Amino acid sequence: MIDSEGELLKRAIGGDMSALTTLLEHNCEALRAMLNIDKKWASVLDPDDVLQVTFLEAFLQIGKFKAEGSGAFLGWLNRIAQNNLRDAVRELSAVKRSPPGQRIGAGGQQDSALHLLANLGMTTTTPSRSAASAEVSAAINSAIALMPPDYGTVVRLYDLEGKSIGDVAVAMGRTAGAVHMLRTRAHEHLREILGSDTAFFSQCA
Amino acid sequence: MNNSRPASGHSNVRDLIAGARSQAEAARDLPGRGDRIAAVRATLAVADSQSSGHFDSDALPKELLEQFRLTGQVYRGGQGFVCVAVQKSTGRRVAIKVMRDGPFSDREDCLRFEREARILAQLDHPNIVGIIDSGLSRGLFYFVMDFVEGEPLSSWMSTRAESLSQAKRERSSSRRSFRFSRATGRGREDLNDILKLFLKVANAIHAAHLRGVIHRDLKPGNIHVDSAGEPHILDFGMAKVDDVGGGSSASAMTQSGRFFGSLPWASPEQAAGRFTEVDVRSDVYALGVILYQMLSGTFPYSLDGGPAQVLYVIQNVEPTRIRSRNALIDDELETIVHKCLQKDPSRRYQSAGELSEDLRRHQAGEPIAAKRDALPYLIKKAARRYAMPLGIAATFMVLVVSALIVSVWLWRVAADAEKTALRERDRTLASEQEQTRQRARAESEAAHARSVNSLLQQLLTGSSPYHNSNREVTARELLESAARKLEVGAADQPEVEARARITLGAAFFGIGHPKEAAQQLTIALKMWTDIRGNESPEIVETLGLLSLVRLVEGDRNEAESLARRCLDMSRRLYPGDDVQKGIALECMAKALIEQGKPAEAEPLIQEAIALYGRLEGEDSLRVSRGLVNLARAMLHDRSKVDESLRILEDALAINRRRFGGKHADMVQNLTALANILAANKNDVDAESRYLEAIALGREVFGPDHPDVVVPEANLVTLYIRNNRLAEAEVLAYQVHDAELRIFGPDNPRILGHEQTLGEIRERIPDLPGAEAHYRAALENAARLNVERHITACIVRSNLAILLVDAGRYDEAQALLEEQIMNSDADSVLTKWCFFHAKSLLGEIRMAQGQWAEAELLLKEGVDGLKTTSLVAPRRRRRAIEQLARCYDELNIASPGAGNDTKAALCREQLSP
Repeated sequence: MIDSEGELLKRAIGGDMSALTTLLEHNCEALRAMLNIDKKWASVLDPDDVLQVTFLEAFLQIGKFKAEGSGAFLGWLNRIAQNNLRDAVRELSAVKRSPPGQRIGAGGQQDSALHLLANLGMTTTTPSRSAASAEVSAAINSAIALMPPDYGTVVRLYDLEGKSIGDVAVAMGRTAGAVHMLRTRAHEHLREILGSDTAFFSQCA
Repeated sequence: MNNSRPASGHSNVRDLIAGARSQAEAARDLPGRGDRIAAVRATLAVADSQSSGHFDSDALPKELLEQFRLTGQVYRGGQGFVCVAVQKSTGRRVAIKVMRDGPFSDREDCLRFEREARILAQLDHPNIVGIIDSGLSRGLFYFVMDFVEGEPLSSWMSTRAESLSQAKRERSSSRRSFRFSRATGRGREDLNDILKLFLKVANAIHAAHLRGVIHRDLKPGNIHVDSAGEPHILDFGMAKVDDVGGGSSASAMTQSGRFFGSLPWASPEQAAGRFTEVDVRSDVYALGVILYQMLSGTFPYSLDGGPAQVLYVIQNVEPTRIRSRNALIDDELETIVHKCLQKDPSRRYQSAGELSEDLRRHQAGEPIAAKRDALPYLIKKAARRYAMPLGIAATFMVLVVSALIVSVWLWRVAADAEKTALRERDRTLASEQEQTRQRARAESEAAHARSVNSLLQQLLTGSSPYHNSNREVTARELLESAARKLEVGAADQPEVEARARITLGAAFFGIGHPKEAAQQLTIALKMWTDIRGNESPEIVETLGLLSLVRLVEGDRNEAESLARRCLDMSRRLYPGDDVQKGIALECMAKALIEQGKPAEAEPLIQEAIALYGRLEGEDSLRVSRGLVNLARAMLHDRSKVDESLRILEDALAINRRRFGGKHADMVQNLTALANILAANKNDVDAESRYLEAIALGREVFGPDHPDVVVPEANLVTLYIRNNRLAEAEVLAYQVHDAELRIFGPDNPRILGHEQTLGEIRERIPDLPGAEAHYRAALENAARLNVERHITACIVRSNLAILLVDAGRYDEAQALLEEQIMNSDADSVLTKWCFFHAKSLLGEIRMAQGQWAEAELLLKEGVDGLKTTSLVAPRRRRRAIEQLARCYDELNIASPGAGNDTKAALCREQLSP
């Protein structure tokens, strides 16, 4: 007996990963058809890149999905996919990105962890290069370990080790566009793990 | 997700989804994810307390800006920010403190902010900042204070220590504290300035205490020194009021569980989160840290690492003696500083008033009230300090407290571990690129240490059969219990077990049980070989320890063999400077000294001393130990006795400077000194040093410890030499009883007892009694299969003389043939016994009228005895006299054959 989409969704929201897998298989081609990627990005981004990250987000975020009738699930997936596509295109469009040397402080990984915090918008100030920087660095590394492996890899290679997007793409066997998407989503998850109630989020008076 | 792009098609979709699913599951299903996220957040929250930021002046309410003009100077604190402003009506410079979160502050913050304003209003003291106004504007709490023109105490301090920058640069690699420069000539003047200023701070805090106010956040940043040199205490934002009115709020604050204070100055009770225990003595502790900084330019302990490490250090690491950082500080001032820094509040000054009074006495040259810690307390502290790195931690404290026995070897080995950790940290700091790798290694080692600690705690406590008994448990019982449990446990963690066995071995050795130590170390050695192969740092460590154990047990050959392996391996593993190599050098040197090869030992000790000097400084404890060993080595060369004495005095001076002469090392040091004095025929001073060593040793180790037995046995020898035979006999029995307890009845050391008693009997003279003891010694040697042991050889020589003198030539001859068989002419230690036996055989041949054979034997004996320094002069003299007598007899039988000349030449050698 084949379950209805409504039944599958109910189970998926309840944590049944197999149900979600089936749902994604059902909706994959429709989702792919909705993606409209400009040809000029063909060498650095393709629909599968977007789908990969979208499916991962679907597995991570399904608990937050609220059913709103027929087609709601595909709509939800499409919003995630379009969001990913937009992020990738925005980043690929950026004429100049800070070279790694500017992202990474001379002090190495401790400083780069602090820069990462600043890049995440978690502090309006640059934290002092105090003894705490080592602790911050350790906390960031712990947080990275709690994310999906690909997210962690991107953050480690790009944000902490200061590799270029191109180098990260080569290292991961992905396109540059995929790396941009992974990085943007990874940062969102990192913010969530680090917690909005930590001191680094508060605006300093 | 796969790293390569999947092919298009239906399977492609499935692959994409399956990959995404596995990624999501990998993150979601991590064990303890929630706890790990909470830990990350907590870490960041604590780290934030060490960061600083900037301030947007627009945050101030307009009403306030109407009265005051901001200057742009802003300081951020934990609770709010302070901006410097000018009161428009008066032109007076003020400091305005505003709550950081303004109207969004929670009730607790508001209460504390108001409290600070109230406290400042009630504290009218010239060295506490005064309050001008306070209020609430548009939900924003603020108060206005006097602005103190000047500088924070921290920068004031740096100007008082001219050498600070230079010294810090010099020490950036070694991570040690600076010293005040003697060369500036300003040292003492600066010291007085510092103490005067500090006294004012302490008095101001005492005034606050008298009003029931505990500051709880004292630090140099909260003390400003104005242009007139007057200190002003700022920021009572963390203060607690011990009065009825403030009780409920104070209680609420403590219930919130927040950390109060600034980490480096926090007291151990604050660091442990025991906020209900925070009282005036916590401020005394912070004052102690500040005073320490003012006098030395550094913190009492290392604050490297993150907040968690700092909290640990504050609670567990004893401060470095301040005199090691500033030689201008005298004993009493050091006592005062360290009394403030006691971990236990009850051992500190009970008020800032007591502290300032003691400082005043010190300044006035009056006796201070604070006393140095008693030795047992110092030992307890030392055991705690050094037990931690090895992982025995609190459990070993149980041993120390219950049995009052401290492990000096544990102490030493643990100190090595501590130094190694420090060096690792230094290297980490030296190279940013190395940091991550080193940290990972340090974390791995820390995790390993935790495993060992956990195992040892299980072994030493837990199901211990003694755990619930009503009697006191001795250290030996606990360690034996642990060793037994180790036999059945930890099989799945060979590295942890092997490390635990080294620790247990060191602990057994430290409390004076070499036999059990050897058992543990032998197993550890085998385990490390299985785990790491034939060469590893762990094997070097184990070999070194085992060689020392064998040396104490009297198995010199085995000790030398182990030490040689240890040294060879350490030279390969540590091409550069490393403490472990120094230890290996010393182990080898000690074995060589005991083997009668001090000349070979000397350069090794010199190498070790130079190495320790480079690693730890010329004034370090290790250098002092090296010097003691060097003095011991030189002692065997009579021409170097004076130099030996001078070196030993240098070593003792280091020990006294660093530990007031009460370090456990002093037991061995005093013994070495007494040995040199005895060698120099200064028996009176030697005796008093032996007695001093015995008394200190008994206090430190208890009576049953090799380090106590050695000076006792040497004192027996001294008594015998001075014909104080009754005293010698009583003490000899005490030594014997202790040795039986320490080494058991099957150790070659017990032969020494019968030898000593025999020598006493000989001197009485009670020759049958002497013979009985000597024969008992030889029976024991046969029983233990140690007929070649040096003591057995000495006893044979002694007994042979008795027999020859009694005319019992047949018995003597049998004994001497046995001696020649068992003593090795090529061994430094037993060489003299071999030639002495030849000489005595020559005497027997003379008595039997076999002159030609007698001459050959006597000549061989005398020639051999001339080549060894270990033979007693009286024995060499007797051999030469007998040879001369033989020539006399030959001359009578064959006049004109030149024997008279030979006799004369012999007698020339006898003249002094």
